[in-house]
Amino acid sequence: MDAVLLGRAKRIAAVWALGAIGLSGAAWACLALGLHFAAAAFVFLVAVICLALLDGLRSSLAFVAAAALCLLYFFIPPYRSFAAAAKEDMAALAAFVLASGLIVALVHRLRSLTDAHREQARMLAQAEAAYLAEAQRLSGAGSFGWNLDKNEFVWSDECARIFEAKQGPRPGIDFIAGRIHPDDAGAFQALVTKTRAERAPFEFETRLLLPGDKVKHVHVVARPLPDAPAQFVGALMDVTDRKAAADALRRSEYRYRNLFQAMAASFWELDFSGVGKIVGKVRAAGVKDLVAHFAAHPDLVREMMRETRVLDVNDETVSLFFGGDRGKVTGSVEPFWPEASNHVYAASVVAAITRKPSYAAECRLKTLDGREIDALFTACFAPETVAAGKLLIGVIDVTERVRAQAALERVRAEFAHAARVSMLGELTASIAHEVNQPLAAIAANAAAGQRWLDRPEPDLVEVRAVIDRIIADGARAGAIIARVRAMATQKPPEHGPLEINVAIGEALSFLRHELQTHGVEAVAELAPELPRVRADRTQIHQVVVNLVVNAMQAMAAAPAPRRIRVSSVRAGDGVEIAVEDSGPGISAAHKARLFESFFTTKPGGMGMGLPICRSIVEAHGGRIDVQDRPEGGARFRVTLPIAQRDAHT
Amino acid sequence: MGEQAATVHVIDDDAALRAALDSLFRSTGLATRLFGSTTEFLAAPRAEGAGCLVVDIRLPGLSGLDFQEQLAGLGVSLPVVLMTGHGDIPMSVRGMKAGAVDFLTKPFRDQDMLDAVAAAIARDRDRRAAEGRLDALRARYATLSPRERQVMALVAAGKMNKQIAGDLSLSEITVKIHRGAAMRKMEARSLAELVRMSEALGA
Repeated sequence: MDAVLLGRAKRIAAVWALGAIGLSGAAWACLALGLHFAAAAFVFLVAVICLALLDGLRSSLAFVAAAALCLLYFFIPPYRSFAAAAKEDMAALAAFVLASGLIVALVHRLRSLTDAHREQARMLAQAEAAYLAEAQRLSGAGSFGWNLDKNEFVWSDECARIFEAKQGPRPGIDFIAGRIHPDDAGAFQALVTKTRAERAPFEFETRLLLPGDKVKHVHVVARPLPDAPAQFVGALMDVTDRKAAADALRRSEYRYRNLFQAMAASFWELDFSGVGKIVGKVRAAGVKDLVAHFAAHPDLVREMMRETRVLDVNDETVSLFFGGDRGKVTGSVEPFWPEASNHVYAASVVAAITRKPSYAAECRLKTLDGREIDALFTACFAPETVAAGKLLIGVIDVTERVRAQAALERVRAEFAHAARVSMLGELTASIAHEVNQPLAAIAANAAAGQRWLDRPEPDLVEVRAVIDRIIADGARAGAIIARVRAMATQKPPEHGPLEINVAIGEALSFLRHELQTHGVEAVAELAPELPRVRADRTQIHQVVVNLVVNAMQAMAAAPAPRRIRVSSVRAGDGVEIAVEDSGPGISAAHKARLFESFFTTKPGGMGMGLPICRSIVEAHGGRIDVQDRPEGGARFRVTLPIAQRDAHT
Repeated sequence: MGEQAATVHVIDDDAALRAALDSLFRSTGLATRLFGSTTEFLAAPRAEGAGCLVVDIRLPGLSGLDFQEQLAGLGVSLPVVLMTGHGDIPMSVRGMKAGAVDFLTKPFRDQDMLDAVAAAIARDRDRRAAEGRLDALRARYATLSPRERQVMALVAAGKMNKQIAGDLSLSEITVKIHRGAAMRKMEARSLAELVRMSEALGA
């Protein structure tokens, strides 16, 4: 603050000194020339005006006063005196003071106006520079000027930022050349040479290699000024991110084009805008349940198929569906859908309408030459493509897999059957006993009936009871024989809803005799009101019989009481069946291999029982595992999924 | 002991067969009691009168054969008819050795079963009658004085009055009096009968 005041004071002192010299000089010159009042007044006026250009209004008015006093003293009689003179002289002096005061004021007014104008222009220029710098920063584009004649290079801050340069606005062309990526240096030099020679506008892209091995891509455009062909102006833009994005997009497009064309899956691009119209009409007619409507109107589904046009397919599709002839790729998808797969097509349409992201199902499809294949059909409903009425379909030929699965299933069923038959052989005595029991009851009942009739007064009430029992026993014998037959014959498994407790009871009835022979007691602890499981009765018999026989054999050397606990309980989404014994348990080494084929610890054992149990249980969508019981012995646990209809109970 | 209906005790874990046997036995005028297991039978109060047991050889818990072998120890003296699903020789031998009346293989002829049960009941009746006679004998024997019992034992051993008198340092007359009293109290009509009674009593 003091420095400012000091500066101002110095300035005022200098002005006043100059004023004093100027006015004294004017007075001396006029006296020397012997000028009279009017001429001297004019000289003083000029001096005052000149001084007014130098500083503020106050100093100027002071100079006016000083000039007036000089005139009064030197040029108005009486000379060399301030004494008052003639009236007309005083009027002239007053006119001088008024005129010079007015002129000085005017000069100052003009000066201050000019100053304000200049300040405004300066601020405007400053603001514009700031806006420009900010705009350059925002757009990532800087500007530069290049004078070819002077080889001068000027750039904006944004250019310096892009180049990560600390240099000011004049970096020098060599600095720039040093930052060009070595791989692009040749091209850059060529451009510089060419521009110097031809002075033509240019546009090029180059890479920069910045400190820390950072690489940037820049895009440069420049052209000469119209009236100065050696002066180029240009813009320089950092396009690294844009370039990376473009590269990624190109790579992604390339990848997808590759995927579409080269994948071993069949892809279809379809136009289904016609389908949308049909569905719109159906909905307008007030149909709410589209699934049911399509199921009831197969013709409508076929019509929608005809309206689904093939836009593009990949090579795999051509070889799988079109017999390798791309020329046949045209028309609708209808020829590829056998009637039996209508529901899958309809379901995919419903999925698209209900804005599901995708749909997948296994179904049969037809090729152009009439072959039917097992296919995994997937449709992708990306919102962008759906809005354009387009659809991408993927089809994978799973014929071989389905065939292999069927073959595997057959082998598994044959194996399970063989195991059942062999099990039946081992259980002959038990089964004979089980059939004998109702037969003995029937014989005894019949004999009793005869005797009731032969009495002097036949007791018909007793006879009726006897006959009722015979019927029940006959049914019981029949059921046992049916079960044995089911075990002995090979038929495809029927996965119907099954009362698991009933099945467990039936399986145990196969074994009652066997258990008694081995001095083993089987205790069934079955949870009441279990939901039904989705299972094949015979195969479940097989699993339970197998596990119980294993448990029985495991306890052969154990001391009495030998007890097997067979239990059933609800477990989450399934029903859990457990077979527990009080035998020696299973060693850790055996446990890992227990379900392996041909692994057995029994002399003469085949090692097939548990593997077959597992394959049966897994074919039912269930699990089987083994645990140690804390009180000793093993616990085999089978979990089976609940039948769909009973799932809610 | 009157001719009250004999009771057949059926022990079989198969309810259907129990019901059939029940009807069969009742149709011939026998009373029946049915049990699902040996434990059930042992827990039930004993029936009065003659009877027999019809037991399946294979039963949960205590098997028919083991049960039969334990019956005597449990104070049950009912004759046993065994049934089995399919006969096997070792089991039959073991059953018969343990005193089974008969051994029937299911399914059995009704007459075979009824005969076996009749035989078993007859055996029970005989045993009960014999037991009844022995009881009477014991009661009469209990009324004898110690001297009379001594004389009776020596008479049964085939000694002459004179020898007995010598052994017991009694007069021959006294021996005769004791012997007469014993004959009278034991209601023996002859010397031979007294000897048999003595044998029966094991004295």
